[in-house]
Amino acid sequence: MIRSIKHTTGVHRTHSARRAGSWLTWLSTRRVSWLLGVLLGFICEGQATLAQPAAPSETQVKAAFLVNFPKYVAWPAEAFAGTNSPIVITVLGGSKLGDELAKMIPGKKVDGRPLVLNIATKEEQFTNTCHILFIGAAERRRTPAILEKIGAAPILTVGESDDFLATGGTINLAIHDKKVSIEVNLASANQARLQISSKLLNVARVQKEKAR
Amino acid sequence: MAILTDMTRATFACLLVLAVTSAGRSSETPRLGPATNLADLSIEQLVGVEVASVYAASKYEQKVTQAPASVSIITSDEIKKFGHRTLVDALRSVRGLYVSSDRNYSYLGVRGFQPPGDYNTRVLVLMDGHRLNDNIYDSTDLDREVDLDLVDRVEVIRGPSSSIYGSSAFFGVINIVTRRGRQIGGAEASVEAGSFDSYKGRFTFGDKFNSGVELLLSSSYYTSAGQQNLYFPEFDQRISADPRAANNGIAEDADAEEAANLFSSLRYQDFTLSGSYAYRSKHVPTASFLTVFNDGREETTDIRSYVDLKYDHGFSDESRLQARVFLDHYSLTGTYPYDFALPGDPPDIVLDKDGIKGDWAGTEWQWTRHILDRHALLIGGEYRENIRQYQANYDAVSPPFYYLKDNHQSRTLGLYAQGDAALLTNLVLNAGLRYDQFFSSFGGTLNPRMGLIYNPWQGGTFKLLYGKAFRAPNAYEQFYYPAQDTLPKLEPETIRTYEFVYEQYLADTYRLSFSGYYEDIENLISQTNVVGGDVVFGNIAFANIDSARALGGEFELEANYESGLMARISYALQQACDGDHRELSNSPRHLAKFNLACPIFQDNLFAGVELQYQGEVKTLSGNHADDFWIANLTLFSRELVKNLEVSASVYNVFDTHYGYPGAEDHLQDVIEQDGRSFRLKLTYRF
Repeated sequence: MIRSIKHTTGVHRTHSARRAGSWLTWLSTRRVSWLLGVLLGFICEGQATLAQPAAPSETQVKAAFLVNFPKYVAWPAEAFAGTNSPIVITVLGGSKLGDELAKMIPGKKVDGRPLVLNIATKEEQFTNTCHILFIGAAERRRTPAILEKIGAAPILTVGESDDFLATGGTINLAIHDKKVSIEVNLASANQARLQISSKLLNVARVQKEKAR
Repeated sequence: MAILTDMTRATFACLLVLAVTSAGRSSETPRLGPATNLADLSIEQLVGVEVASVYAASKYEQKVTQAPASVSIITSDEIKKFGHRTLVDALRSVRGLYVSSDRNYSYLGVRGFQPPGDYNTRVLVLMDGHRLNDNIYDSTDLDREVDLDLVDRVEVIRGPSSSIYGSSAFFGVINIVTRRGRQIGGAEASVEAGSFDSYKGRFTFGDKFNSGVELLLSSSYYTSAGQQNLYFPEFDQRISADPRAANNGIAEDADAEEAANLFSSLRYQDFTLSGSYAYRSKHVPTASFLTVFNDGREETTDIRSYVDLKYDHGFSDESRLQARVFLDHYSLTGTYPYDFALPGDPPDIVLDKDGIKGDWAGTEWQWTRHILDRHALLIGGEYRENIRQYQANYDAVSPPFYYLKDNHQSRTLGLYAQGDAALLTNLVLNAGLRYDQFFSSFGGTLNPRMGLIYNPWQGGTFKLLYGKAFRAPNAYEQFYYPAQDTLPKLEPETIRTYEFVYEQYLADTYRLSFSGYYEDIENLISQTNVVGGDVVFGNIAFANIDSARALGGEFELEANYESGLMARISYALQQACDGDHRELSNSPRHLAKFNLACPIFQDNLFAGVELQYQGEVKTLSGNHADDFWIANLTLFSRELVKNLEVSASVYNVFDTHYGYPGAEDHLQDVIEQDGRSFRLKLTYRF
């Protein structure tokens, strides 16, 4: 009995016997030229698209949020030394975000207070003045430890990980439908004696999770 | 002059592509300007700004570069853009992997190893960390057990991972991460229609509520009539002398498939409760296992279900505890028509049935601790109780006549530890060890793993890896054939892998990867003949008689542009042979893959092109099955109509005739696969 796939006289699929050749035979010059043209076209298109201004990155939009939050959050009086004391934004574990903030901050003021950027090192002890603390994805593992250290200090904690609010953070920046959305933990905000404007709550997804 | 016409052709094709893609761009709405304008927007405006497609390079990069293994990830985005229908389609596009099918089940080949007839016992498949391999065959159904629409990503972790996962993490681990309820954000309905009268419908509900509870509920149903007329020359009585040959070699209406899936997950704070039920029935046209040809009743029905409760908590001292409790079920009903008539007599067809049932439960604990931010320690334990491992074979007559009725209980215990020590800031030593005790079976086995991970410069990683893994003999090999009792107890198969990996990320856009490996496989369990064996099952039994060696290298280059254009090309060279240096069956020397996802209109319309090459392979009879190219093309659109995703796919665009080697159970030396086929899919969110 001969068993060979090279001879198929199929009733329903007629095709000539194909020799067991190398893959080069399939790539006849005609097919190759078509394929090359198509590939070249896509590569050119890709290059052309690169040259165009792209949509803003996730990091840029998150930085814009941080710069905007002071307009919608009220800190208790003792959080500031004087009426013109700066609002300090501390960034931990988000080097790219720090870069974007550095570009956005110069010249910005909220209620007469200038915005100041502080890039925290890993050894940061959080004893200095801080009004907004951003904990990046790279440092998310330390979130419970950091939140415990801060305690009930009047600091707006902002994160970008799924469990940030559940761990006791106040605002989480999440990606929904290719847009950055805000999730708020009111209990945590109350514990830090922060008042969040209804304008912010209206565009946010509010949660009443446990406080730190 | 031929070259002029070739160049004209190429130029024409290039211009055509540019014309099509730029036509889409000219009507594009203007994008936002530079970043400085963003800060001037109000909060209400900011929540409406669309961000560039995040390839999640940093998450991928950290996961891939830090892992003591070579990792590939298939995202749900790619699954949509390339029109992957099942896990098999998704795995086919991965570097160094290949698939074969016998029109009953699909089998995964890794690093040149997939002996025809072997189940998927040497790859561990996890769904959200839950082991999917059953407790009878230690295998996973790659066809319809996992509903690909519910998958967020598939992680392919190559290499021996028994030091963490125990048995079956032999060639690698496939970890499937499901979508979260919040990602659905409401409800989703999906319908598919495709060639061979194939239809699928799915309804999914998922959301995260204000209380913090996150829920996902999904059900889907699939049916396919399959190929109506399949021709097998081996069964063509006009040219074949086989006594079963009939009907001019055509198996009519014997390729149908049916599947149903139910999946749910409920998350609240640190707890996740998930449950899954998968049913899959396939008619088999090949008359495997010496059954009657073109009878129409040969079929297998697999049911796999489980419930899993997981606890995951991070402590403030940077330690983490994960605990899991689970209950699993698996059943297989196989129907095999046999003709018991003597030659010359009229047919006496009796349905022989395999009734297989497995139930098991267990618990797993894992504690992780990060020390000084540079070192990490992981300790874990797993206990599994096989409540039932039932195998029966009987003739479906009244009353049923049993040839085999066997039931076993057994238990396994695994204890493991793994440590990461940062010898320098950019040099990490990873070492792991697991001890498994298989009570009332072969006893204990110790499996270590070691890796050096070095990051000399930005974006570059070198890995030097060694690991030992094992595959325990499964219940089928141990208990199905009566002659097994006459042989010594089966030992686990072992593999020792030496691997080298180099990965380089460039400018957040390109990823380059080179890897080389050598594998030493011992104690392979294979079918053997026992002299004077059982009357019904003959002399069949299993023994640890084979060994294999594999040597190979892989190359991959991937580009991800901000526009959404993604291109990936990979090549794998693999050489696998048995203990006598003979080429293994179903082991292709060359594998090449190409994937291109190209945006045609903004972020709303994509073209996905797949090109896959598989080299020729040896069949069981010593012949060779031809090498082949497969091309797939998908047009995927989203939000052209609000909340609607539409995709149209053509599979095997060039109608390539190709086949995979048959197993011992098949008369066919090569089993031919489908030609060109289509699929249209609509998904609506509300």
